Amino acid sequence: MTSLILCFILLAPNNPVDEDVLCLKDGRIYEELKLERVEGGVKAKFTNGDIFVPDRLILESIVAGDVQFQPETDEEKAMVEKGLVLYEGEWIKANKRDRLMKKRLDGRRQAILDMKEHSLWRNRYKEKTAHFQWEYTIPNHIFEEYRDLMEVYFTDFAKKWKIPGGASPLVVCFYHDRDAFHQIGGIKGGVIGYFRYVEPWELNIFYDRTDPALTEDVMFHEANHYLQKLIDVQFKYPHFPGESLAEYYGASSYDPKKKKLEVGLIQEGRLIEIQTDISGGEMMSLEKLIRADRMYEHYTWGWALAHFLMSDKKYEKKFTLFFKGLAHDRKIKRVDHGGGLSSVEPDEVWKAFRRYLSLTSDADVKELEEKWHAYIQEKLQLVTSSGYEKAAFAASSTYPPRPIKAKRLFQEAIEKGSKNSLTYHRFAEMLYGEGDTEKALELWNQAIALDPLNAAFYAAKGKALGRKGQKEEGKKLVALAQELDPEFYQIDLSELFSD
Amino acid sequence: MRIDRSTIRTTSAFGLGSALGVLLLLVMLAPSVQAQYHEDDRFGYKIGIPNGWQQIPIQVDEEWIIAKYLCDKATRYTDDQGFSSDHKTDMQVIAFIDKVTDGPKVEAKETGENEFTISINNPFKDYPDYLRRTFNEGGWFENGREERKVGGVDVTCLDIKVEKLTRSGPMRITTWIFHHDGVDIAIQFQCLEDGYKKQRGLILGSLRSFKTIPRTGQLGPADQTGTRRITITKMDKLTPDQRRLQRMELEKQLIEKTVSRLPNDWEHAEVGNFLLLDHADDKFKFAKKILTQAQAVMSWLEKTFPEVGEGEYVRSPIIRVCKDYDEEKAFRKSSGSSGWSGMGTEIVVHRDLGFAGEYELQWVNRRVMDIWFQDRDRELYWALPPWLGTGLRQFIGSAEAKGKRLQFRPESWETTTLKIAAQKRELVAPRELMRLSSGDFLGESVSIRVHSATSLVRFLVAGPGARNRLTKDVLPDYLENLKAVITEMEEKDKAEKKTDSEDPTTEEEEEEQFKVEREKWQQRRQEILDQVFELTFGEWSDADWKRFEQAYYKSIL
Repeated sequence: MTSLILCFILLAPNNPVDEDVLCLKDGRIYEELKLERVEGGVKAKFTNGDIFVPDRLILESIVAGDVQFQPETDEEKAMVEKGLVLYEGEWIKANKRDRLMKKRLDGRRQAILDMKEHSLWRNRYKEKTAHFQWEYTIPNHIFEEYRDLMEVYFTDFAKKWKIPGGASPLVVCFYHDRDAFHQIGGIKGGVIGYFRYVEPWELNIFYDRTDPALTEDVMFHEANHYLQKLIDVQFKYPHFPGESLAEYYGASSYDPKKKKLEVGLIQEGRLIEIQTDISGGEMMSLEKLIRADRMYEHYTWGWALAHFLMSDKKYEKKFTLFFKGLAHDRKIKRVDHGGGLSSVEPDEVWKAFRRYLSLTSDADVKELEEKWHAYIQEKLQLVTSSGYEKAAFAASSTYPPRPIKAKRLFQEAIEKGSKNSLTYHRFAEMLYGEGDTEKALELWNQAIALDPLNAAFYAAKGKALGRKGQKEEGKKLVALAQELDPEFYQIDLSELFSD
Repeated sequence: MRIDRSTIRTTSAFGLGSALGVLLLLVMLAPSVQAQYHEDDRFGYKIGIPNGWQQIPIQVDEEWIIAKYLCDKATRYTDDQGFSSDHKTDMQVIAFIDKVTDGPKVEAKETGENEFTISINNPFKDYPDYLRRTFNEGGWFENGREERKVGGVDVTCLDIKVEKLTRSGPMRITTWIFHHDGVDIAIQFQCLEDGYKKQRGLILGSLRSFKTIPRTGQLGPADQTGTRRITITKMDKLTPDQRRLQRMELEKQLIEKTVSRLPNDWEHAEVGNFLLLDHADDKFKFAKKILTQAQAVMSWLEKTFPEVGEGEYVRSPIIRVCKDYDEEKAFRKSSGSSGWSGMGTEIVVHRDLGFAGEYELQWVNRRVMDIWFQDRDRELYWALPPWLGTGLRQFIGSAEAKGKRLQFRPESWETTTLKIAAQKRELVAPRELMRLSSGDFLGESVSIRVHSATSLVRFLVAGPGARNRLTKDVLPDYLENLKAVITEMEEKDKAEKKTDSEDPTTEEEEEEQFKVEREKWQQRRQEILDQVFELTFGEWSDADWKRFEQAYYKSIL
């Protein structure tokens, strides 16, 4: 019954059978467009201008004109006059080609329609793997990578930490964007992923098309809480070291060719936060970090501590035993956490940490703290363009802003080959704010080249053109931005509308 | 064009077969279980309300919700761990006017001397957008959507499930959006998923009863839902007399608007400085108890802190007594558009003569204190250090009116906590407590510091400290000194802003400036604490401290 209804929709007179459709690799779908195939991609035609979208961004494009065969040479024209057209290297009757093309286009259109349908939670995809039960609204071609990744991650951690087997597959809810995560997942604010540690266990994450690496990071982080849970299902790991270890494992990377998972990479965003604290004159004390209950710095300085300890074989062994001992060691005092779970209070965590790390005196504590601080300042460095981007964002947005530093970092990110359109956009905004309109425009052009369908870039560029005196051109770009995304608006357009 | 996924028409949940089934079910249902109709000639509709449901008042500054009702019976949800919670199905009507005022979406303009108004036009695009931005009772999704006609009006019917991280158990929301002559009227029913089967007939019966009626006048900008206006008056630029007049005018407008929004079965009365709104069905008995409490707290504040904001006019609090907790909960649900002017002076409680009634009194005490201090000296109130701010709130919470006077008795856990802390030598000395910044006050073992602060305030204003020559003026002096210090700091900040400060030219200079600025804010907080302490106790000798601390410890142990 359902497929008949869908077919009806496809064939209905005012249904967009002949409408062009553009589906990008990052999951965005654009309908009611006019597309034209050009070399290297497609041109999307809007009232206020055309936008070139390169093939590298496109998953699927359906152009109504594809059905029509356009002869180019005299030979082809002669064949067309005979009633034949070229189809996959063969000359066949025109109506047969049209039928075959239409069938193919309908199939592709159906695939896109399926993708749209499955983006609604009530129609979500469901798939079971060895250790997880997936419910997701992201397109399959994006999902498959994360699915395989998680299995490898689980196996690797379970082996190293000797996790007992037998657990039922964990439900993982994977949303197609942040808004869907907050709305359906039921959590607001700055949370970007969560693991529900009371029954029914569940993991909730979302796909961020502007930062797929962060998606992976969050997935690994939240999955780590699940794996920690499996160490002892009656135990709730305290904030430290629970969050710190989750951050440590959040920075993991999988090589699909070598089928190898590399863990304990640099959490560049967290490193930047630590560096900001240090710049502000704050060096975290070991004791303060471990004895605090639910401190934000468990995600930053705590990560750095885990990284430091796990990087040294001697400390790695002790830290691993400490971690597992929190759940099992009879010498450690546990308290009721509620919901049938026990946990350990921060003072007791500190005691256990000192014991396992052999910190018998205050001098030992001081020594370890100094080593840890030195490790942060000497060994932990930004590595990727993404790291430099994050550092630039932080420098420009943390109070008080540091524009000189931010500009240097933006430049370094670009020199390292950044392909993040937002980097160029934010750098442009910064320079525009300082009056360097020409350079800002160059950067916006680069942002548009990387992501030609982002309305904000056109609006920003339009505003900059207004300042240069090119008001009409600027207004047109702003109108294009609103055509591209009707929900987009910009409050301050005084440079375009004032005389 | 970018697809708006929420407008996809689908029959996957309400398929053709299901639609027929629903239609059949509707035909089979009793024609109406409504004992009353809700009529609204402003928006031009009426709808049947299920028998026994009561009308809930709308918050005074509410811009979107135009009607609310609450079921008279509760449904119970029990989770896997055996915990139960009750929920009464509620109904809300939310209006979205199509017409958008011309001009920018956000507009700020000067609307008077020392006053400007910010208008945010149509912040909610439509019902799904509204739900996305206001619903906070759990994760939700559209389970089904259908288009139909009811009484000649096009309707979008939504079936919404609330499943993840719910507070009271999985929920079901049934909303029909009637597209009627320039307005979308969304009628929303929210019930427990467990109770949905039983209530579905009632809900659909009510929705099906929707009818249009003639509208009185045009819906224009003055009546428009969807425009949120925030008026900011530069109060600190006015003289006390001007402020008094301004506040009295606001108060008058607020009282009129509040009373006009009361359902017919609510009673109201102006008693002294207070406006009482009562739905407790006990001839104002509970409301008077709350009133007596509030009046006693107000008098105590006037008497204890006469110099704080001397001469400033305090707006009359509005005391709203709901019938029960469910009614209060339903009343508090809003679109988030309620501004500062309404809820700011309104104290909402529900009639509870049992144990929970004590919490109601604590709440009343604290709200009266908030209102009083905000109007007398808001800046001082916000600047209270952690020991005094927390201590005062906890202390005033424990107050109970006996006639017109207040009695202050420590809570049993306060006494117990302090005694245990004393045994473990963990008590915090007053002179240490008074110099703790927020971070240190709220750190580990916070309860000891909270109870210490409470007992210290009690000692100084209502205990032996209030009668002792050495300590009886400590708190008024402390407040006066605090006011002087923050005023001086503000003047200094203004002066520093005016002088040309050089921007850094290198990254090193920038880093140095960053460090100085960050440290400055942390140091500043400590500076305030230290300066005020010095001004208040600078002339105390060690012997004075010893006498003080001995008397204080004796009072708490």
